[in-house]
Parts: sequence; structure tokens; C-alpha cells
Amino acid sequence: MSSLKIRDLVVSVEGKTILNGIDLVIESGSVHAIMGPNGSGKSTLSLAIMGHPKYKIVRGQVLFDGVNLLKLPVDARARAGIFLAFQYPSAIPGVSVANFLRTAINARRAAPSADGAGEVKKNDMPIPQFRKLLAEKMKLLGIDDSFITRSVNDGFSGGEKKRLEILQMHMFQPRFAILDETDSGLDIDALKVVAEGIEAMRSPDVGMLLITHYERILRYVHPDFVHVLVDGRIVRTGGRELAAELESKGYDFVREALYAGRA
Amino acid sequence: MASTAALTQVPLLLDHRMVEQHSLRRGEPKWLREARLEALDRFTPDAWPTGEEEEWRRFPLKDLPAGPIVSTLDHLPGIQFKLEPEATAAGVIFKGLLRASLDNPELVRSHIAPGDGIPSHAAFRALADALWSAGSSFVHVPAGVEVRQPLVLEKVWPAGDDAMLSRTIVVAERDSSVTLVEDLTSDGEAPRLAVPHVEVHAGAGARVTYVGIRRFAPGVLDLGFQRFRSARDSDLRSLNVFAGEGRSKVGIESDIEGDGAVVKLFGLVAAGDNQRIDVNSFQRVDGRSSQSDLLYLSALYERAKAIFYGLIRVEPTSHGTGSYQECRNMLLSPEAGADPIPVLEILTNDVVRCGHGATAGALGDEELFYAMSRGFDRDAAQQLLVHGFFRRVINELKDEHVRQRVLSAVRPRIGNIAEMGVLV
Ligand SMILES: Nc1ncnc2c1ncn2[C@@H]1O[C@H](COP(=O)(O)OP(=O)(O)OP(=O)(O)O)[C@@H](O)[C@H]1O
Ligand SMILES: [Mg+2]
Repeated sequence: MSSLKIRDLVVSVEGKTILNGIDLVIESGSVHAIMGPNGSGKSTLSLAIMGHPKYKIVRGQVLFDGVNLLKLPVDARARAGIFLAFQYPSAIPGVSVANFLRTAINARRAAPSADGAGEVKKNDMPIPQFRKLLAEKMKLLGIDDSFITRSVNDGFSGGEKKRLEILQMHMFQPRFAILDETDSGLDIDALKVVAEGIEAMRSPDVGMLLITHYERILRYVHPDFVHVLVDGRIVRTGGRELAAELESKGYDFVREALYAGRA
Repeated sequence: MASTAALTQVPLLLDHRMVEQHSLRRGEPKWLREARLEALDRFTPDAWPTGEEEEWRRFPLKDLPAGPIVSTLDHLPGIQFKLEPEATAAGVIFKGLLRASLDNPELVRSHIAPGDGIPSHAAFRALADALWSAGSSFVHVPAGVEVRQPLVLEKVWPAGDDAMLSRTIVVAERDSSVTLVEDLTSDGEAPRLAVPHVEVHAGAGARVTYVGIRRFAPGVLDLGFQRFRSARDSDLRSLNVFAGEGRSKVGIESDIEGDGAVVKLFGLVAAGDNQRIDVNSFQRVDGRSSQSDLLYLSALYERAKAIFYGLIRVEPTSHGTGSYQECRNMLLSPEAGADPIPVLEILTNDVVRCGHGATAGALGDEELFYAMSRGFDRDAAQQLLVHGFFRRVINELKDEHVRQRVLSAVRPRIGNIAEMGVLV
């Protein structure tokens, strides 16, 4: 059992405070959904956990099995088992998907030297094993062969980018996955495939944070908790029914409740 | 004839006797000696760049290596001219230039006249043409002959301080096809001059690829020159890889001399330390519907500087041609720099396309973060992005072995994390 504990997290971007004290605990085996209006800070939360240099931690902690993630470089967070499916994945022209996946897997398998300075010890995945794994995952996600020879996200459609994020999640087998609007911009069939891909990742050993605008995805991937993020704060937490309520009433009702309560 | 006295302004001294002695010592035929002396005539004080020329403004020609200008090295150790048996049978010639001059005098004679090209490089062309020695080569492909395997020359100059002056002449007759790869290396740390002078003639309908890889040692000052001539309907590609540790100032001229010719000029620069890689190109576009495109990519580390002055001239006699010049520079250190200077001279209205694009900038933060979020440390992420950047040119090479050779040349600089010939 592992857990990701976010404590009183305050994050600013370019001098502006975006997250105003987030408290959230996610145990492995559970799925938490975060919903919230545009600009409420959902991506800021996911990028801050991953370690994007633009997002400054003003206060707070993110503990992953007791280790303060915020002290680790980005790649060490990834190797510790955190995975972020980006809302806006970057293109890497000239690097094929297969090449990217394989070198990333090998980078993750390499053991840093004990003193942190010397040579890393390589432990490359044998090519046949890699091929087999990739073929398996591509089949699971209904990904076409031609996909893996293309450059990473270069000229990809929105839906293709999201599929690649899910494929990476499956290839890397993280212990904790944050999915930032992976369901946005997908057609109905793709949504189903992506949802099944997320569902297939579910296991007692994996924790998930699903950021979404739509209740639809939650019909496939049943969250244990739904949180509502407004203006950089989690203002409500509930079960799946909260998502349905939001869908029908919109965010104004939470906002009103929030500010009425404060006034 | 140039006299020693007249050359006192020029930092290099050479005279009739030197050239003659050099030729005699090598046991060359008289016509070859005369060709060398004819080249010497072009080595005049006016041929030496003043530094005011656009091509030379950013490359101070001071600190010329003091070593001997005449090299007594006649053959590079270990150089091999390997040719497939079918090509030999078809009459292809692939030899050292002196060997070819002795074996095939009538052929070499018709191509040995001193080379022309960008005027401000005349002194260095003349120098190479008058005093070339070890590492000079000659390729002749008869009409209609297709050489399937790339011709590969590994030229390794042993340590020394004598100048590395060489001539490479490639003649591909009508409808022939050939790829020549020259991989230039030098040993030792001594300051020394290199002038690889390359002339490539693509005959009508010929398909020619020239790949020049430079991996010169740190003390080398490379003042090379290349000229590519394209007859009608020919397809000519060239790639220059700057992967060494020395300074380079290289001039490249491409002349389209017929209709429907296609020229592609590629370049990769992987430089670091205090290196200065300065390339100037001249794409002369002529004929009907001809195409000339240039793409140079630089990855610059530490305090390296890449300068690129590129001129496209679309001749008044041309019709419906297309040309482009693109120069992209990746600055991998805050102290690295790039100076791309494109110039277009379009002397006709009858042009389909002509343009340029130039950029210089650091690696993208978002791309770096994305790669690192997958588990690559900063250095590996950088390697991955640079490798991807270079792929655009490397993918243009059709032959896998040539591709691997280019990768191995840039590997010491850009790293090998993303090399994956086996997969994709
Ligand atoms: N890199 C950045 N530079 C400047 N402002 C930023 C940056 N990233 C986020 N912000 C600002 O922070 C606020 C929250 O943005 P964030 O992307 O976290 O919202 P979000 O909840 O993910 O919205 P959406 O639903 O549209 O994806 C917004 O006001 C946004 O403009
Ligand atoms: Mg967002």
C-alpha cells in the first residue's frame, strides 16, 4: 500500500497564487476525480506535483510514501512511480514513439550510482521483451502499427496525443497516475478506448487522480471520490453522485455555496 | 606567374619552385605539374581575402598555423579505395588522385584545371590545387553506370603540423549514379591548416550524393571549399557534417547549369568548446524548373559559435525555379551563439518559390519538462531532443551504413541515448 499525501499546497505562477492550500490524500487502489471550472488550477496541481519549473511551491508538501516529492528533480519523481498524462503533451520531432518509449523505459530501469555522481548502471529491457510488451499494450489500446514509427506527438491529432499518453502510462506501469483531461477532445469511440485503458490500469497497487470536465468518463471509470476545485481550493468532496450534480447544476452552485458560506 | 616578392602581404609563402619540387618529388607527369603551376598563378595577393568580403567578415584569418605548407606525405596510411566488382567491370574509377593521373591520364587531365567558385575563396582553392598531396581522390563514373554501394573513404591524417591540402574530384557522367562518403580525421594537437577542395560534377540525369564528415583535431584550421555542378535533370545531394574539434571556414557553391536539376545541400554542425564553424554558401539557380534547397542544423555547446552566410541567386536566365535556404541553430549553453545571415538575389520574375528561414534558440522548456517527466534526466532529455532535431537531416540519407557513420561522428558531441537503428 502506498499513498500520495498533499498537504496545504500553495503554488504560484509568475507571482500569482493559483493553488491556495490543497489537502488531499490518495491511497493506492483508489481513484479520485477532480472537477472544476477552467482556470481553477487543476493543471497547476498536476504540473506542480510533477515538478514543472514554472510552478513555484510557496508552501506545503507532497509526500509519496513519506518521501517529499517536491525535493526531487522531475525525472526522479517519474522514476519514483509518478506519471502525468499531460493535458497538452509536447511534440518531440525526430524521435519516434517506439524509440521514445524504449529509451524512456531503459532510463527508468537504470540505477543511479550510489554516490549520485558516477556512471548510472544500465539495465536495458531486452528488445524482444520490449517488442512484446509494446505489441500487447497497443492491442489493448487499439493503436495502429503506423503510430509507433511517427515522431512523438508531432502532427498528432488531439485524440492521438491522448492515446499516446495512455500508451505511455501502460508501458511505464507507474504507481500513481495523474490524468489531466485525458478524456477531452476524444470522439465517442476513442473515449471508450481511453476509458478502458484507464480502467485496465486500475489495481490495488495504483492510485489515480483523474482530472476531467465531464461526468461521462466517470461512467466508465468509477471514482471513489470526486473533488471540486474552485479558485485553487478543494471546495467539496463527495462520491460519484457529486459529478452528476455538477453536470446538471454547473459550478455556480458550488461557488454560491462557497462564497455564501464565507460571507 | 606569381613571384615571391609580390606575395609578401599574404601570410603564406609559396612559389614556383616549391610547387615544381613538390610535383617532381612525387614523380608526376608534366601535364599535372603544369596544372599545379596554373593553380599557383591564381594565388595572388588579390585572391587573399581582405576580411571585408561578406563571406570573411566574421572569420578573422589570423593565427594561421605556422607549419609547413608543403606536405611530404603522399599517401594516408590505411586509406582504402574499395569498389564493388560490378563497378570495376563497368569502368568506374575510384582512386587516389595521383594514381588516377598515372593510370587514367586522359580522364584526369580533362578535370584537373584549377577549380572556380566564390571569388573570396580563390586563394585557398589555389593553394589546394597547387600543393595537394595525401588524401586526394578521384571518382569517375561512366555514363549510365550505377554504383550501388556507397564509396567510402576514411581519410586519417597522422599527427604533424604540415598542411592537409587535398583535392577530391567526382565526375558522374550522364545518367550514372554514385554516393561518395569522405570521413576526414586528423591526429595530433598541433596547429595545422586543412584545405579539402571538393569538386563534384553531376552530368545530365546523374544522381550523385556527396557526404563529407569532418572530425579534425582541435588545432586544425579548416578552410575548405566545395563546388557542386549540376547538369540538366541531375539530382545532387550533399551533406557536410562538422563533428570535429577544430575551426572551420568552409565555402560551398552549387551551380545549376541546366533545366530540371535538383540540388539538396544539407549540413549538421555539432560543436563545442571555443569552436567557430563558419559556412558560407552560394546557391546559383538557373535553368527551367530547377530546384535548390539548403538545410543546415547546428547543435552548439559551451562557447561554440556557428556562422552561416548563405546567398541564393536566381539567375535572370532561369524560369520557374524553386529554392530555399534554412538554417536552424540549437543553443545548448548560454554562451553558445549562432549568426545565420540569409541573402536572396532574385533576378527574374519568373520564379515559383524562393525563400529562407533562420532561427537560433535554446531547447524548449516544455519539451525538456515533458521528456524529464518520463524519467529522462536533464542530460538524457537534452540528448533526446538534439538527436530528434538532427534526425531531419539524417533521415535524408538512404543508406543505413552512411547514416550510422554520421551518427557515430556526432555521437561524442550529442550523445547516443536516442540511437536506435534496430527499431525505427
Ligand atoms: N505557465 C503559466 N503562465 C501563466 N499563467 C498560468 C500558467 N499556468 C497556469 N496559469 C494560470 O493559472 C490559472 C490556473 O490554470 P490551470 O491551467 O491550472 O487551470 P485548469 O484548471 O487546468 O483549467 P482548464 O480547465 O482550462 O484546463 C489560470 O488563471 C492560468 O492562466
Ligand atoms: Mg487544465
